[in-house]
Amino acid sequence: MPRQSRLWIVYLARAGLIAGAAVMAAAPMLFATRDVAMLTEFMSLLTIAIMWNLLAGYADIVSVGQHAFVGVGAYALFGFAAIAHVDPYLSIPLAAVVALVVALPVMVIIFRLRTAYLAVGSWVVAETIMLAAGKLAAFGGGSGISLPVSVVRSFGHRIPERYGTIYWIAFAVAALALVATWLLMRSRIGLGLTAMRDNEEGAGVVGVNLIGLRVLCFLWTAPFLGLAGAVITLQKLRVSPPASFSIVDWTVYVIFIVVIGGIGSFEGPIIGTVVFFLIREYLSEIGVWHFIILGALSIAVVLVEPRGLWGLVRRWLPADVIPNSRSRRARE
Amino acid sequence: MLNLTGLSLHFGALRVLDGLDLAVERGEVLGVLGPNGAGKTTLFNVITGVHRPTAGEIRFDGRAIGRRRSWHRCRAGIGRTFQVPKPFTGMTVFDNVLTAAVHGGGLSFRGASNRAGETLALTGLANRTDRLAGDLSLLDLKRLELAKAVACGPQLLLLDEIAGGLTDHECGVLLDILKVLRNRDITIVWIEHVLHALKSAATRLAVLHGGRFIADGSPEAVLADPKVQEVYLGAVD
Repeated sequence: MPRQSRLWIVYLARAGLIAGAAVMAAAPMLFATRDVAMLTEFMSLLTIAIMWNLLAGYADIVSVGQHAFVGVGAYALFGFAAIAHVDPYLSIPLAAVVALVVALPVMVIIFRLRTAYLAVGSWVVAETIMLAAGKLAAFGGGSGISLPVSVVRSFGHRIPERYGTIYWIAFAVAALALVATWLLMRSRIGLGLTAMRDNEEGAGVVGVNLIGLRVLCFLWTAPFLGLAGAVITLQKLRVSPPASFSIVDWTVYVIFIVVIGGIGSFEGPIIGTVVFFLIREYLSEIGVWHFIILGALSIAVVLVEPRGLWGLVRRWLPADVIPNSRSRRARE
Repeated sequence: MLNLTGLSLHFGALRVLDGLDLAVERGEVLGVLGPNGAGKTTLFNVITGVHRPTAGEIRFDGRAIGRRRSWHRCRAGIGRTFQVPKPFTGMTVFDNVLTAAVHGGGLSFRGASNRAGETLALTGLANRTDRLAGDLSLLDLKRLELAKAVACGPQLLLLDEIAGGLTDHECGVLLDILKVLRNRDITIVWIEHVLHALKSAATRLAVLHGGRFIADGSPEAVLADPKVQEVYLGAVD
């Protein structure tokens, strides 16, 4: 079989992925501070992209309000670290807990809706949460507030040191998101989610609990988005409603990333995030044109292959680069 | 084991099922006949929870299941195939059946792998396990539909036109598979247009017309019924 003979490409890609992960783990020791800052953003967007892909690509919850949980995580971090004087490092996981708690009532509201109504509903909920955040005087109201110097210093006194620490936190969050979601996809739940992605009605009649899996996915993504929000706040050193709850940065770009990379695949969000940053880094001098290129690319990708760049590559490959099928293992 | 009473499903003014009654006994193979548009597939959709009935009651093993979701009904022991196959195209054939065994059958990965392997062998897909379901031919897709339904470990199996388009030889193979399933005490309700296949497998026939059963009994008696000949076989006068 010709496809089988290209197995070496899969092994090469896996080796590349491992090498890339190793370089990323050591990035602050290898790269200049400016690049470390860019890679920190990369890790945060990757985390958010993995989560949006899980929701929209597998559980068919096409939410455009996920930036709400990024913002909630940001505000929670500020609240714990700057107002309640909780240890800044401990404030990060606490931000995840707050995002999860907020996800519960949000879920009750938006799970009454489906498809386009869900998209609009999730957006409205996110806007409402943002407006509510803007009413919090202790958080600087509508114009936002900076993190106190004491909190910032706890991540490093000098700038390169601080950038390195925050990068490693961002890296740990992205790694946790990636590994935990991969393990989820390899479990019985992942089998059900993949079946649901391919044919919802067919999945229901073979016993896949569609509602249960949707609830699980929604609650799964919230704490990771909260963590991403906490990391973003550490990097930007301030919270404000329009930036912390930015629909463009944490939802629109993320949709581009997932669609270009390949929705409903594990590799898609990773590829999409890499492509997004390449375009941003190398084409940002041409100003607004790089957004037009981004938009045109995503439209082109969807027209040629709805499963994105990864879908295009996957046709030529005999296996996934990040395997989450149990079948071969199961029969051994 | 399955009792339908006064079952109705209306889409607006259209009465697809109209006060239908049916009792399926454990161990039988009930063949369901009916002209196109009689409501056969809709009947399966209501039994498996794809549609909620407008009125009437569905009892399975004595329990009312009319309000339950499709996955609960599957786990309670109702398996089905779709006339138009619904494969999980991006998964391998093995994973398709594994999903059914894990979720529908409630098995562990190990138990489910064994059942999936055995079901694939039974349905003639043993040499297709690593293919993507999206790459299968129509015949193999129909086999996969059956394999997924069987892997759930059903007590009641609903088959929707699985013999359509098969050659005589393939049809013979299918009938052999159904015999194996019957020997496992699986009760079967089979919608089919291929009359000779249905006649050789069914212990009882029922004819659906206008959203109700108009005949019900032994295959010979039902096929000889003038009412049936009029609506189903198209005889006039």
